Amino acid sequence: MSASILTEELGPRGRARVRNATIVSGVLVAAFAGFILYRLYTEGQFEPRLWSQFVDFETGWPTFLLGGLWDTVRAAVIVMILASVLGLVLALVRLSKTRALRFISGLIIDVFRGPPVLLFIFFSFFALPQILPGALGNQIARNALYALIIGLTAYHMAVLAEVFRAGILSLDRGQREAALGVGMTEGKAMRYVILPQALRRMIPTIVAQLATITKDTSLGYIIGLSSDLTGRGRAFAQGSPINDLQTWVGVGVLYFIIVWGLSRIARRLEVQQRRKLGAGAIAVTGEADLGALAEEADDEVATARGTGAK
Amino acid sequence: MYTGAYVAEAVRSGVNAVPPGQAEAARAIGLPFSGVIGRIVLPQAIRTVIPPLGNLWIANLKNTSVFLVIGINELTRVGRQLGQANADYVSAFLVVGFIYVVLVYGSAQLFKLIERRVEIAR
Repeated sequence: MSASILTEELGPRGRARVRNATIVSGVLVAAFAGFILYRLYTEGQFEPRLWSQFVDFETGWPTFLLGGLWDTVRAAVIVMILASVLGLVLALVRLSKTRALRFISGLIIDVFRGPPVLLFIFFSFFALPQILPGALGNQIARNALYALIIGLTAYHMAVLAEVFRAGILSLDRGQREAALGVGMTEGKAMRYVILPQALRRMIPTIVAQLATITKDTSLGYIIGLSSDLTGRGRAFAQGSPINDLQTWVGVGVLYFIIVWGLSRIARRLEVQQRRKLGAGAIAVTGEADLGALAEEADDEVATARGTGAK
Repeated sequence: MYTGAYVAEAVRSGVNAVPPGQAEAARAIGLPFSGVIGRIVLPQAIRTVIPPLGNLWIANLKNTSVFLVIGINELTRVGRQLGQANADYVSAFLVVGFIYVVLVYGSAQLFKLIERRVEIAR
């Protein structure tokens, strides 16, 4: 094993010190974990009847809880599709030649990326019914799932627009130039040469974004959504023996399976792509990294314009 | 605790970005571990992680809206209360949204400024 470049190779006394510190901290962590388990045990949280609620299908409760997955998955998929389409349009307009269109699209993207997603959910649930004509507004006010889908779409389309833009700009400039060189128009070059390659590169990022959207659907709880996994969990927790801990552990496991599965898929796709394309593929990023991604794109635009003008 | 995990990862990547020669040279002139870390590696690492830290700050700024769930009077909750009191959610949320946009892009500019000032020429 190679030593860290930050420290010298340890002598016998240093090694003993590291060993002792490892043992002491290991014992402390084990003791803390043991204490928590002991308290849970003495409080009766491990009683089988509290946990068997998840498999007692005769009561109908497990089916009820699992049924919540339908609305969670449905909302996530619908948001994903709507946000991708709108995001792609925004990204293309932002890359267009017309300065005014570029500005408007950039403004929309920036404004919708600024506030927290919760505000969009509130806006569509409380404010949209006040703006939209009667029947449509009433639909939203009465149906928290619609409000959730609209709110999440508004936010994630802007986030995805930046992902798409970064993906399109990450493509080698020669691709576009070659397409124009063989006589394609700008539109054809985009449709037949640039987008097919760029979209393929973005697949891992998009799958990772689907994981984020799935988690965000749980925010529907704030506007009283009761039919998704979190909402059904709330009803499940009101069962007769007090079972809040067990309920949320169970709901957490279900979310974990979906989100972890999606991020595993995203990572595998990314590795596959790396192997096929060399470097190039856009790294899977969390929300925190998207700003950096967009900035990179900005820089690339700047350099592309700079060299193009020469 | 949640953000701390992200900050830890950002700082780690910053430390990795410092050329190994820097730490080796520091050790070669006999600096102790605290000196290598505190005087040579971290000052350079922190300057390279300003952009990711800025992004984390912005993400955090938005995550505070979730505080309303436990009844803290933050911006989004106040917006909802105002909307309820005046029966006008539209303008209440538009104003709140505007404040968020100003905060987010204001701090983005600030971080860009800091980044430019402490940039390392390599």
